[in-house]
Amino acid sequence: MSLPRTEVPKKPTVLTSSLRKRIRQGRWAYLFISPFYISFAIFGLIPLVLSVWMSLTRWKGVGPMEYEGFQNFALVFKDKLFWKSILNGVYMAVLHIPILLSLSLILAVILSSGRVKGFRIFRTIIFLPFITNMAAAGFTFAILFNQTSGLVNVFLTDYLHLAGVPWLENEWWARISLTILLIWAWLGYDMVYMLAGLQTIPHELTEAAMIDGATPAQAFFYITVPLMRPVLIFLTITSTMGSFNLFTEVFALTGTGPAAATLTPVIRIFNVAFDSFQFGYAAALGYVFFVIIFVISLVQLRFNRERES
Amino acid sequence: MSSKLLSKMLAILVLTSILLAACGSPATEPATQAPATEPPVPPTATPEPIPTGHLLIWVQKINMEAWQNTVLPAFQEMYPDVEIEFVNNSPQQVADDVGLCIQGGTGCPDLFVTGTEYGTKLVDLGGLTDLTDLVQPYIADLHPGMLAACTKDGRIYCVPWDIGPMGTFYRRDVFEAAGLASDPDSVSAMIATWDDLLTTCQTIKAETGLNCFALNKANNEGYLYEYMLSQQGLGYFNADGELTIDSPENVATLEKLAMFWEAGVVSDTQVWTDPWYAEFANPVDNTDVPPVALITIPVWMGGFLKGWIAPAAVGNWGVAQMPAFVEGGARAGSGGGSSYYIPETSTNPTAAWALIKFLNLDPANNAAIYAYADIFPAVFSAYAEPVFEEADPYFGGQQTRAFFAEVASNSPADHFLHPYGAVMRTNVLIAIQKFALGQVTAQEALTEAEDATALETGMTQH
Repeated sequence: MSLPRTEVPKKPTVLTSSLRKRIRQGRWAYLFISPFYISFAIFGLIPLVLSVWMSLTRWKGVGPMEYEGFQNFALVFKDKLFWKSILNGVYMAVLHIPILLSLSLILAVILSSGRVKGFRIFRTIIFLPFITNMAAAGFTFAILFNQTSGLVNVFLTDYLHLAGVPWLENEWWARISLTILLIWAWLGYDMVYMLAGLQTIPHELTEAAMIDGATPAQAFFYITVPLMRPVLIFLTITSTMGSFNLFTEVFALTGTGPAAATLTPVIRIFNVAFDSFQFGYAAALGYVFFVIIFVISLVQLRFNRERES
Repeated sequence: MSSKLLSKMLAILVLTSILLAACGSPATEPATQAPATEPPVPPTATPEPIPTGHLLIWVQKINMEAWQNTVLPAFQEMYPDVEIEFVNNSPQQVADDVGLCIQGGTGCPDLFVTGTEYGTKLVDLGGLTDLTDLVQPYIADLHPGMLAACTKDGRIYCVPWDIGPMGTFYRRDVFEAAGLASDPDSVSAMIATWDDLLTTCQTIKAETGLNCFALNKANNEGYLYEYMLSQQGLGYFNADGELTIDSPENVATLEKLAMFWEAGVVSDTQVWTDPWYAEFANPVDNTDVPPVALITIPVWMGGFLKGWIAPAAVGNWGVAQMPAFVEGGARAGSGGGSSYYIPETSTNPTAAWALIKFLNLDPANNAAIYAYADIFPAVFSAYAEPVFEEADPYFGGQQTRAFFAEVASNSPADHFLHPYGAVMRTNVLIAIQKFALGQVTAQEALTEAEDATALETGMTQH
């Protein structure tokens, strides 16, 4: 039989005991949420930190990284193709966002009015393009918009007796073709957000306005639209980012042409990274691109806040 | 949750992720890989091991089918213990995927085939098996231009399979409808230079209303421009590795191309689209998509015409020499080609090399593949095979294989294959399109392309 050892227990600090207690209490919760944080760290955080270093080097993806300071960033400001791609992003945003948001809001108002029979069927049909494979959709649109034998031009020339449109053979028409594809693809997605936003607007407001003599159009512009502003701001910002991030749509429909008229920043960065394995320069392009998007989003938010105030 | 607690949690997670990442497969040099300087297959002087085991091959489908329908069954009979698995993808996709697997250090096939224009950047990247000692006995038999694209620092990392000697494929019915002679010798004489071709095109247009060939403006893919450079021994860089994108010769070539647009004798159809195929297949009286008279393109177009573009047009097509840039100039040029590559991480380099030897370095087998799919050998000894003397019924009994063998022997060395070839091509295509749309002059367009390439790659301008 041995005597119990007499140990002087260490007095835990308040902080560590509190921390341990909290970890112990929430251990299952931490365990269940840990896969996200671990994968985020591996696939998000570490690449993010590494890419900062990468942007200061010349690196082919294998072998040693050669430190070059801010040379890659200096190169970005001379890269005409990159700045053209940024301008293309602006064009695409201006071309498609006003139409997309207007159409999706109008459709949402019509569908939520209670006067449309088969509301769910229409909602499903309008949403279907969003879940269609974009590569397949892009190739299909390319066939439809073919200058020589595309169905769109056949319809225009044979049935309407109009001149054929150089859908993919002219810089601006190529952007318009892309706009049509984007609206087709994203209308349902934006409409679902609009429908959700409309449910937060009390019917009484519209009804009271109508009793006071407002027309349906006045009720729409003076009640519905202002109250939908948070949804509109959210969709404007995400659609703007989307305009700069177009990838599959462009590859499948226009292939970045004509003369890089539909080249987007993301495709430019991808090409730099994988066509010539210049990962350092691609990382620098990525960071400059991030700053541009960040500033555009801030400006949009500030502009809307000022309008609200 | 306090911010300190959050910080500690985050730190733990970051450390965990680093440890997990460290536990992953190493980025370079796995234990099974052969050292770059010592290929696992012994030189031909010593007995070679008998290939066995699994062999994963990345290759485009038409190449795979060409092997399967010709000599691959004989290889499998010879080496029954080799189990071949194919993954089909386009040459560009194969090159992109191999680039990623080399950079990731895992996931590469045992053998792959891709266009040499894509493979050049992989040779420069590293991660391919050094085949120098194995290829050494065959060097004199391989196309030197393609072999140069396989070489880095004096070491050889791929084996050229095919090259693209140029010809002008023309439709006899369109020539006859225009009241022109349609036998290959007469057509070759008729289109002796690009200026002569323009005259012929104008006759065809005047007599039949048909376009001569397709030359899209807005989405021009630059093929014809590159073929015209190739026949002059030009390209995007010179022998010293300096950029020559906007050299006077290149500017003159682009301006020469423009005369076909200005004369209004070409269609604006984009290549590799349904209307483009229809222009080759449709009868002369088709008004929806009227046919064109000809196309100047590498030898492999013959396989496409026979196989799926116009298989019913037996006897209607002929092959003439491509026009010279100037009178008395070269009437031979080359476009494209592909090679065999073995990644360093290949788990079965023995079987991979055995297959390359069997399919490619055996002249009879190589010629058999050519006869089946018009994939023209980069191995000179194959040209002596009897199949090269045979007449091709699709081309009205013309000896097209002998014709292309002669073109291949006379093609000047061009300068397109470069690790930064994709950058050059991207910038040149934009230049051609801008010029074609009338936005800039040929000089301005090509100077802008060269400046952009120099900026991005750091290459010296001539």
